[in-house]
Amino acid sequence: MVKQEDKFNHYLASATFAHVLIGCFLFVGQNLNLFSSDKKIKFNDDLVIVENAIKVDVVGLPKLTLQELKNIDIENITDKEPEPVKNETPKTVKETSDVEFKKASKKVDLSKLLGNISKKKVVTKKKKKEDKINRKELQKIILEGNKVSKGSSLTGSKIDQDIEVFSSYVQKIPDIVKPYWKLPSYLINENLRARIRVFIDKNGKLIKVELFESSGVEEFDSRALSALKNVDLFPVPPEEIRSRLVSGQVVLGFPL
Amino acid sequence: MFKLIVTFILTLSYAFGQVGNLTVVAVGDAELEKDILKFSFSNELESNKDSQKLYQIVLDDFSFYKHLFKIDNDIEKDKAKYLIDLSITKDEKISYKVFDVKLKKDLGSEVLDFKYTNIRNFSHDISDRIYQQMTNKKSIFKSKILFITDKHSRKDKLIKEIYIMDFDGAQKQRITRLNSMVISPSLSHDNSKVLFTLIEAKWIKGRNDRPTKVKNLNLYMLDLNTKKRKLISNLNGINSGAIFNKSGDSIYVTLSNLKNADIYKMNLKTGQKRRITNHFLDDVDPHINADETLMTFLSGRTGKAMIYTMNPSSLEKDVKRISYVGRFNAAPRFNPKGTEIVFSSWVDNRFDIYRIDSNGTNIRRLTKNFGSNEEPWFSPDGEFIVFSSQRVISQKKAVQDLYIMNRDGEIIKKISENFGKLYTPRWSN
Repeated sequence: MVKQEDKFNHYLASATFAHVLIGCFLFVGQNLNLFSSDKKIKFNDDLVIVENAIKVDVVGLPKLTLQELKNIDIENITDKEPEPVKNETPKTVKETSDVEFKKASKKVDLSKLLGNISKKKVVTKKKKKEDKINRKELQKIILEGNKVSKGSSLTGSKIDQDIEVFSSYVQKIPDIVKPYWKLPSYLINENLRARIRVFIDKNGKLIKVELFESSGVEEFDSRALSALKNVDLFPVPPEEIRSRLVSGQVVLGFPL
Repeated sequence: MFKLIVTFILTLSYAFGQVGNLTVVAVGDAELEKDILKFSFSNELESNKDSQKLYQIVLDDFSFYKHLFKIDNDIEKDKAKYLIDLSITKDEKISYKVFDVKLKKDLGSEVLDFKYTNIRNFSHDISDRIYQQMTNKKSIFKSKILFITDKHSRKDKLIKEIYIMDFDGAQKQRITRLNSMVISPSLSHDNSKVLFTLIEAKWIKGRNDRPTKVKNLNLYMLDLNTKKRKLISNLNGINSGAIFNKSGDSIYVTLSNLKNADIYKMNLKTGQKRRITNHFLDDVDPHINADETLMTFLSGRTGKAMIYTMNPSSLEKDVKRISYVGRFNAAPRFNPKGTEIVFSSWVDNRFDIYRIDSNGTNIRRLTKNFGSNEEPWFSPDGEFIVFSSQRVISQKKAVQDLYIMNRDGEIIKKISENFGKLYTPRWSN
């Protein structure tokens, strides 16, 4: 009996050991992507891709025409960024914010508009005027019901708090670059892609650009680079992510 | 011991998870930058009025494509994308040269005799040659638009006849002289034949077997070259809304001889018919894509007139509803590639034109506050849409004219004026 019990204990112990070992192996394997057949997934683990999710609510036939939507994009620009830190001459600050004003936000973002209204108390007289316009636009949009709006969700993994601040910052970049991102007819349907690494300093100034992945077509690359060079100031980055921006952790994909 | 190993493994895996330190941000698709065209024109035959006309016609032609090109003849040469040199010489020759500034490349040139029977046709041909050198695509410059007008109506009788004109509204030509009501015309793909429906009187057996006169919608085909008219179908009821398939050997048509309207495919040589839709509520107004794999049509099968697509290869195959709103929808038409459908929808007491992808997504409104807009039809290159627009002037009077807009709803030009009320424009191929 004693012998049998010993034997049982022995097998129990080795079985437990084997289970733990297999468990560990699977756990480590998963983390190292040993079982992943798709190499792209491995690649994506290194590169977090941030794209604006587009949300479309169709509740009826669109009230606005395509032409109106295009015009509203230009008319309905609101300054959602905090005023740039005034360590430069006021004139330049004004100029740059004007640029953002006219061209930065291509699509109407409801949440940002709402945010603006809640900021109403803080702003100066000039701002109040703009808020009025925003309200009008907001009302318009609510009345329209259906409209393409930018969703707020992010794609990609590893969204912890720091990354959230980082992501919400880098999410603003496309809107700022897009007005300058233009292609001639002979390049627009070629399905090309270029990626450019950008280095942004603590004032939001672009200090360096680096071609990270060429499209293979020189003009396409240079069009993407010149789109960036036309932007002279990005929003001032929050303190906790400045080091990541200065060290060039952001790669802009044209178009992806 | 186990604890140690597990802790070690956990630390290791955590370290690997943190490898990602580059973030790719998608900027999105680029906007199209308009190509700048710089024209230069030299004319040694200034006494010839037509030689001056030609240049203006060419400029007007290119202005239709203003969503793709910007004409700027004052710009420095190196800032333009294309340089177009046009010259007419004393020895009655006309030459053009197209140069691509960005690629530093001659795209093409030609010297032709300045001889013509019609200066407008000749000019449109020159425009088209230049456009093709630039884009390797056919332009709309030589295309025509078929339409119906009521300008021949008398006080006691409404008369609708078919006309054809250049894409820019010039050179209107009368096609039918039937002194009757012609509706729903349609051109064959080789632009040589026209299908149309004529409203005619027909004697049928009425109550107590007495002969009674009723109106019947009969389908005819007219050969534009021989001017010969041929009856295609005069079954009881509707024989209408017919369109050719690409090869021109068959037509798709709405027939209502079996009580309610359904869509059939008919072989023009044999007269054989194959039924495509079968529903106790009406199915009308078919339009097909080039390879006949997809048909769009209007159906009342849900109680309201809505737009559907289906595979016309057999009865009721893959029927899919693609419009869900609007009190009434009408005239669905494919673009030449078959990827998009334009249609009009009754909203706020008028029709407006919408564009939707053929799979039923991406609906976009194209017209608004522009009268009541109906009967859209794509240009052969898919860049433009011609449509009819009605303006009510008083309780008794309204005008209806044809307009061209680009595919994004930017109005390019009104192409008719004082020519009666114009209906059902059909762009040639």
